[in-house]
Order: sequence, then structure tokens, then C-alpha cells
Amino acid sequence: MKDGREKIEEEKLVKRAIRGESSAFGLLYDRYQPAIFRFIYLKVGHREEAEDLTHQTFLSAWQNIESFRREGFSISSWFYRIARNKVIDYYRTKKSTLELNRILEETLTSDSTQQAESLSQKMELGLVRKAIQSLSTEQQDVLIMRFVEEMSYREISQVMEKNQGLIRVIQFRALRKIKKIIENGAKDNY
Amino acid sequence: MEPKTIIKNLRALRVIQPDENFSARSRLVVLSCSPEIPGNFPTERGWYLVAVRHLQRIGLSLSFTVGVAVLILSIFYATRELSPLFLPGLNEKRVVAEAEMINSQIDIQLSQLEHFQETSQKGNQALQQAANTQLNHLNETVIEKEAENNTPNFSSSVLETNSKINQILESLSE
Repeated sequence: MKDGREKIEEEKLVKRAIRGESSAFGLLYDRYQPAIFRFIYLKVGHREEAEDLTHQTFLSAWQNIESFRREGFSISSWFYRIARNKVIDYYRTKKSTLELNRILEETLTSDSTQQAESLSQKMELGLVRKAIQSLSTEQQDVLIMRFVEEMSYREISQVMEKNQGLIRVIQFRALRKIKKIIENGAKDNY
Repeated sequence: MEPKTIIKNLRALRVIQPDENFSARSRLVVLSCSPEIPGNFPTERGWYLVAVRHLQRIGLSLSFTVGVAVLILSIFYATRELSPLFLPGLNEKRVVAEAEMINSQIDIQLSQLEHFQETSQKGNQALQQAANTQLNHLNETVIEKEAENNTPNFSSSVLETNSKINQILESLSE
């Protein structure tokens, strides 16, 4: 959650970016690009494609920065909305042929998980990532935004254009489903 | 796996980071592109920015086109407005008619001049001839006639008187 000062600072950056100051947009890019990349990566499960979609997201955002002022919500929510649409378009035009085993393998060998404490934790992370891929788009969005990015229900509802009550329902169902997928996956592995 | 563990694992996924080289490269490419201008561009310094951005985008071609247009217009203006031959409100047909009339007057005066020149030449020739030949050029019959006219026509009474005068003069002289 952002405090008041950070929020005001961000609003100033957004205003400067709208006026066409690329340096201001550069600061917004630095602030939100890792989160947007994570969001996309966890949804598409492929690093190169996630990088490509992240790039497209920020390119669209910068080229259409003027239209942001009419939207009336936070810049991060706007970035997530663009990213969501990019992923939807990606799946529309290109059906994912990713094998779940490859995602698991990538998780285990990825630099990003080097900080994980043990092999078992890495295994668990891999299972969670694999399970995320099996969720519906909405369930993926809610789980990633809520638990990975720690966004508020209000922000999530802005991104998804749904009321907060419905977001909670989607979150509940997503957790229940992911639990089931992980349990089934664990049984299959043994 | 318990929901708490699942949530803990989900939070652990936060360690996923984009590649630094990719981030730097992508940032550079994104920021090198100009933002689009929507149709209803708003307030503030809006229109100034729109103009500047459009100029940047269209760049050299626009400035070249504007330059050529300005050059053509200025040439047109200079030839039309600044020319010494240009008179505003000039009726060209009327001027042509006036010019034709003046031309015809000049033609008439020239023909008169030729006639005067010819006449003076003839006069000069006659005077020169007269000066050179004195009365030689005159006809004999004319001379005889003039001599006749000039000859005094004395009557008999006049002759008688004259003889008397002669006698008196002779007697006086004796």
C-alpha cells in the first residue's frame, strides 16, 4: 500500500508524463515494470513471451498516456489493465502450447527462485506456479494481484472492473481450486 | 497443502524479477517513442504540445513543404503587388483602346510630316534653280510680252509736244 506522500509524488509523475515528459514516465516504468512482468510471467509461463508482452504493455501505456486522465484511477491499475488485455490478446492469437512440465522445470532452474530456502520449497513454488496456469484468467488475476503483488481489493476491483465483493468470491474459489490442483498434482507425482 | 501455505508460496513468487538487460533495453525503446495525441486533447499547454509533437513527427517534410509554399506565395505577391507596372483597378481593355487611338494619331502626324518634308524639298529645289539661272529660265514670249507692256505708248499730241520741247531746248542751247 502506498502512503499519502508517495501517492502525491506519483500523481505529480503521472501529470508530468501526460505532458509528454519521458523522464517522468521512465520513473513510473522503473516503479511498476517488475510487478507487471511478474503478473504476465505467472500468467503466460514463458519468460521471453512475458518480456515481449511487458514491453508491449509499457509501449501502449506511453503512447496512450493522454487517455489515462479520463480513466480516473491509479496508474498502476491502468498498467495492469493494459497488461491483462495484452495477455488476453496473446491467448486469442496464439494458443498456449506450453507443457506444464516445462514450466515446472523452468521454475526449478530459474534464477528468480534462487532465494528460496530449500529444494522442497522450490518444489512447492513450482507446483503453485503450475497450478496458477490451470486457473481461469480471472482467478489468476485475482490471486497474483492479491497475494503476489499485495494489492488492495479496491485496486483489484478497478483493474478488473468488478465490485470488491465479487473479487473476494473469485479469490475464495481460486484458492479452493488451486489447493485441489496441488493435491491432485502431488498424488500424481507419487 | 493448506491455504496458508499456498498464500505463503504465492507471496514467495514475488522474487521473480525481469532480466536487467531486458528491462534497460525495453525502457530505452519505450521512451524513445513519442506518445500518441488523442483527438480531444485537453487544456493547459495542450495545443502547444500537440503542435510541437506533430512538428517533431512530421519534421523535415513539413518544414520543407511550408518553405516551398512560402517561397511560391512570396514570388507571386512580389510580381503582382510590388511590380512597377502594377496599378490597382486598371481596366486593361480601356488602356488598349487608348493606346490604339494614340497609335493612329501618331500615324497621321507622321504622314503629315512626310508631306511637309516633300514640299519643302521641292521649294528648295525651285529657289536654287532660280538663283543659278537668273532669268534664263524664263520663256522668250513672256519677255517679249513684258517688253511690249513696258514700252511707252506715245500718242501724236505727246509726240508734237516732245518735238516742240526739243526745238526750244535747241534754240536755248544756241
